[in-house]
Amino acid sequence: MAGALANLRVLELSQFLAAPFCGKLLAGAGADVIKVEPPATGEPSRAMGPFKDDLPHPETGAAHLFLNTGKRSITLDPSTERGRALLLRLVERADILVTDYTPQRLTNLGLDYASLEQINSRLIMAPISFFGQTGPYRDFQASELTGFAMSGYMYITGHPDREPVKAAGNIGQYEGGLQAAVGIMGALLYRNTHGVGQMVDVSITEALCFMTGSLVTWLNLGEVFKRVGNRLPSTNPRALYPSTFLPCKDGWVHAHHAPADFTLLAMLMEEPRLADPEIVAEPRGHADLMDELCLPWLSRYDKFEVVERAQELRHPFTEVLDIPEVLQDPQHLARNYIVEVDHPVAGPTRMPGAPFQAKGTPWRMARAPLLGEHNEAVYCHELGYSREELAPLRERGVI
Amino acid sequence: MPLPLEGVRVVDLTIVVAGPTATSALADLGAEVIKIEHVNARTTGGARSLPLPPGVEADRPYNRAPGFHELNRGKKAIALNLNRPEAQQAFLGLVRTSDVVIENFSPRVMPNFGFTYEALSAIAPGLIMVSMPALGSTGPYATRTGFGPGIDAMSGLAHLTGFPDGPPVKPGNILCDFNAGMLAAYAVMTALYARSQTGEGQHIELAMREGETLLIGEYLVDATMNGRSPMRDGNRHPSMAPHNVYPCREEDTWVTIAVGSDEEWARLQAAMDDPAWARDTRYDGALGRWQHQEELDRHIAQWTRTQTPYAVMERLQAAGVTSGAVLNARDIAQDPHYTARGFQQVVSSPETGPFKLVRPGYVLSKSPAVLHAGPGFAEHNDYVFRGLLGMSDDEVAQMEKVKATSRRPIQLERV
Repeated sequence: MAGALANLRVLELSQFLAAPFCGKLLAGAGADVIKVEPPATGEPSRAMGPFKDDLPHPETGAAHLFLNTGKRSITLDPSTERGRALLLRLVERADILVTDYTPQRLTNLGLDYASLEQINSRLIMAPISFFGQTGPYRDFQASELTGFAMSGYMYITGHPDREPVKAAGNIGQYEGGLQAAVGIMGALLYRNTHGVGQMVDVSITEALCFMTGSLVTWLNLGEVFKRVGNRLPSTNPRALYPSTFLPCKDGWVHAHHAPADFTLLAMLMEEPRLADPEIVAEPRGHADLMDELCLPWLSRYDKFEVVERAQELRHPFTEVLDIPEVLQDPQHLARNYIVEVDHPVAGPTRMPGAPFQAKGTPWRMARAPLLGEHNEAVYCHELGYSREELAPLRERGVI
Repeated sequence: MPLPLEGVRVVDLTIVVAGPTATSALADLGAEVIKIEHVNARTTGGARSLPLPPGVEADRPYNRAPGFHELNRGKKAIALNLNRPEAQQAFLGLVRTSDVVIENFSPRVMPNFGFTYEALSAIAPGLIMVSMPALGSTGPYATRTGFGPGIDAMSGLAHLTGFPDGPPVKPGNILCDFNAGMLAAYAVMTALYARSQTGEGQHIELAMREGETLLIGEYLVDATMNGRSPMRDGNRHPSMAPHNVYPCREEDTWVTIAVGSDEEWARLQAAMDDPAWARDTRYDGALGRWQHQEELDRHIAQWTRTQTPYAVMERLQAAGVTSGAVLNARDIAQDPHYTARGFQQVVSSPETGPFKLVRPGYVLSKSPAVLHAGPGFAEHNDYVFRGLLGMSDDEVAQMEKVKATSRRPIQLERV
């Protein structure tokens, strides 16, 4: 069976991690994604640790190995005249170009949508940046941390008695990449009907802000969400509780109420006071007390025991899993979610596989490409250059 | 202006947040999304009973909550009690005229009604169906119930978020749901594209936790490649320093600063008016700064503490240093950049009057989304029952009589 996006050609030019995540989603769905990387060094994500055995190497970075599954890699310097000409030949044949080059860099290289549209009117171009292609902050310097700060996401993450905190890793850029993939699919379906491509302008800060829900709340209800630790944002005293992380014998669990049944919670925690009428009337209003009443029982069991007992009483508790536990999770194992991917330099590693199971169009998982691994396939077999023609381009750093 | 998904009809059975996020994204892009709600209006995961704006009279409050409209932008709505055979027939009739069915019940619900993909695609060839269980319809945890923050816990994301000396932290507000919703919108459209090429529909299962663990893939690679257990590290970066959030003048105001190179460090020094402490040679070079980042952070906090977040950000950005104000919702509502990009849009419905929604993070240059308010309860009963399904007045009256549908929320007697 072919992938859903089989036969679609995608070019990926990246300097951050948003375009690679978007490209990974497109490659997983079956598109032919060609990473266009700077000669010699490769794209910046190849320089990001951690590396295998903590030895920096352009083929063994964890982010690179994860983000670039199922893609091909060619080298090309778009700032050289020959390199730009080669890139434009690829653009002519491409369906989609996804990039997280900064807006300024795209303009400087003459790779803005207005220029590329002239070459290929069916091209869908998705530039992803922290602030989008317009507006006063367009050219601000930004990073993952900046994106979380300016999206309002960080302000509502963490505990009220400490400073705001970003989410782990590179999730802001990944959400930008995911929303870019949604916009790209919209543009592709539009092209199916109307025959023309378009630009999908993606802002990482907007993507994150959309996911807070807090702006709509402020605009219409006049309430500013604040950091509430791991509780739900509503501080209405009558709201149900618990819904929070609590410590147990060996770690943490997410404790969550069953639909309004405090007798069961009291039974589970062997603590009759949890069903006291004052608590039942205003559970969220007694959150601190409820936490305290739950702790003695929780401290007697490990997280898996706590969750098992709670789930038996239909309380949707879950374990806060660390990464080795995620890798060993029985549900993941039963569903073959975690897959092993072998790599000639990094060796075998395990990572998430398909984010969804499309029964008719299977997800594609193949190792990340070596830097320039597909130069010959793309330049010779697809664009028709001879090997002899490539040699001087390589010597001059064009490819 | 035409929109990308015009002519695509989506039957939306989803509840709570993740599913409605997916279908509202499809509605933004022009799909006709028909939301099926229980006749008691409660099974939408409570969205119709979300808080109302201050001062709003409680007449038909279920049509007025901004949170409901946020999650159900641009959809149509009908009411069905799917326990009634008449309602099941109406549902199946609607499926027959539709392209997509999407649901996020626990895995036993659809098969209990007989609404499997096999059954539905038999009457609607080429149907695309998406199911969004919390943990998957197979495996030992298939019957576990799950809520957003509980999935943040099981995905591994919460363990990696927060400070190393503090508890694990769930990021933001149900990240898991929004992430799964956007992934589901992507999945639906990849299937629509595939169908445009092959004519074939399909069933897609998106387990919310699996969609979220995808966001921390590099940590799984590190753990298997290097045999270790990655730990949360607050706002720090594995190689950059300074890289943190710093307090500003007013209570709970903050600014981030991230320095990625020696040149950027020199620019930061200059922007801080070249203080003596920053000339310490221990801060020369990335490794030196990283090793001494705690005292570096204390010095920088002294400098930020007398200023506003915007003042620090603007000064540092002008100097070529990566910095961002930690904005809250009130700040963003007034921020010139968000405003210039049309992030908020005013929408209106008969019972709410004008109010504001925000769009997702993408703008299509030739077919930009125009946001619309969500539907009133059962607002499109006539459109669907009489229009699409061609039912007579008597048939609709009969459905209302047996409470298979309703024009206003009703409580059903317990059976």
